[in-house]
Amino acid sequence: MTATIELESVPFIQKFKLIASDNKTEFIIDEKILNQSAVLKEMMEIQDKSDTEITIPLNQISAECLGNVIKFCKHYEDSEPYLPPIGPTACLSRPSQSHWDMVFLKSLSSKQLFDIINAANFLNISRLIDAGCFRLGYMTENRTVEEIRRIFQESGDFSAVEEEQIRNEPLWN
Amino acid sequence: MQLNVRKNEGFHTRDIRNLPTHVMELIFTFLDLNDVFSSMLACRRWYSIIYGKQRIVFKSLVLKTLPKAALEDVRIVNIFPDSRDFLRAFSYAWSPKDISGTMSICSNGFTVYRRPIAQCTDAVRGKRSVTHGIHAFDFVWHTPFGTAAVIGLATESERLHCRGYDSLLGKSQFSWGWNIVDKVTVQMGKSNAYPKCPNIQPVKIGQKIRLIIDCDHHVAGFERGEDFFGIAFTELPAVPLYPAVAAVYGHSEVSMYYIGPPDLG
Repeated sequence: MTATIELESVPFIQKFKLIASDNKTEFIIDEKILNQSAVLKEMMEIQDKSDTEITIPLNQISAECLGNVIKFCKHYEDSEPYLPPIGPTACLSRPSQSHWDMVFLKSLSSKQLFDIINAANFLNISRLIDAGCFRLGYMTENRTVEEIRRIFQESGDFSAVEEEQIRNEPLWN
Repeated sequence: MQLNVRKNEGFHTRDIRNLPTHVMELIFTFLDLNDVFSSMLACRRWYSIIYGKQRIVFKSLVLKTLPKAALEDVRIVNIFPDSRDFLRAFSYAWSPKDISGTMSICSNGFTVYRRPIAQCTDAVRGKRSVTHGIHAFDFVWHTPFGTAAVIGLATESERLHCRGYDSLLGKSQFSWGWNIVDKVTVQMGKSNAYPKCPNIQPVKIGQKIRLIIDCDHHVAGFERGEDFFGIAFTELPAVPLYPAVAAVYGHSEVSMYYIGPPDLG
């Protein structure tokens, strides 16, 4: 059984078929979406154009995750290419919680969020990497150590003595 | 058929543990000081990412936390090649709340300024005290000294303003001062020549003077460059001690930079 999700249906332009890790789920996309991934863009630049779809197996990315990645890129298909904030003040600006990216990522479960950031990193989609990091930043903001450990399922692996030492470092509080 | 169980392992994430380090680092650069602190305690991996060699997270904190005037002042920036030390020094810098009414903190956050008011002496404490370990503070007097220019230590009970031109620090059991004009230390109201060696050149405007406090041995002394001037204060009590200066000269400007544990040699 093959589940095909058609997200783009304009004729006469180069189509790409992305196949998820289950080897079944396919996504048909065009350049506007593909080019947001620096990795795929580079890959396709050395590929001959074809009348038919070019098939790209992405056996590292689950169908669910790939669907989310494409949903995100679809939102930006007509936008200017993303320029990540650079320079010394890059860390000072961030999207508001009501920004589309934040709302979209907020709708994902933690696992889906981590998956999508990993996939974004793998495919090098810088807009999505940044958005994911901003979202995780919001999730960490104003949390206690215990809350952070619970949210991110990190086990506190410091001994009580070590933790005390870190807390007493003359930098905090 | 169990062979495929491990397929794709290492990429498929169940949680944040598998996010690449540079992505984690990026996340932490979006956080403020308190959130970085909480994250740092979450686990060893996060701790080591935050303290990463490039100090990227600390660089972002410096940009977010320190006054713009400090970041633009090359003389200050050059003292702290490591962002972590820069941030730490700022947390020890002059307190805008623990200061004589005649003084104010300059926009760079590291320099205190005394307004020209006659017939009084004014002092300021740092934001943080020290109670154990060895600590070094660098002081720079940018302006003429007047009749008294005093670098020293104070507990939180010492007053920060008095009438007349006085050394102020060292006049009570709550403080210890070195008057660099008279070249005397003042402890419990008693003056002693310091540095003991008479041949030492007097302190000049703009020179960096380092105060070293050994809380565990209850002593403190000063050095200039390679020259250690000897022990200045003994029998310091085991209570929180704040770095402090007292000034009498109008328009005095004094900077203080916390250096951390000094290189002992």
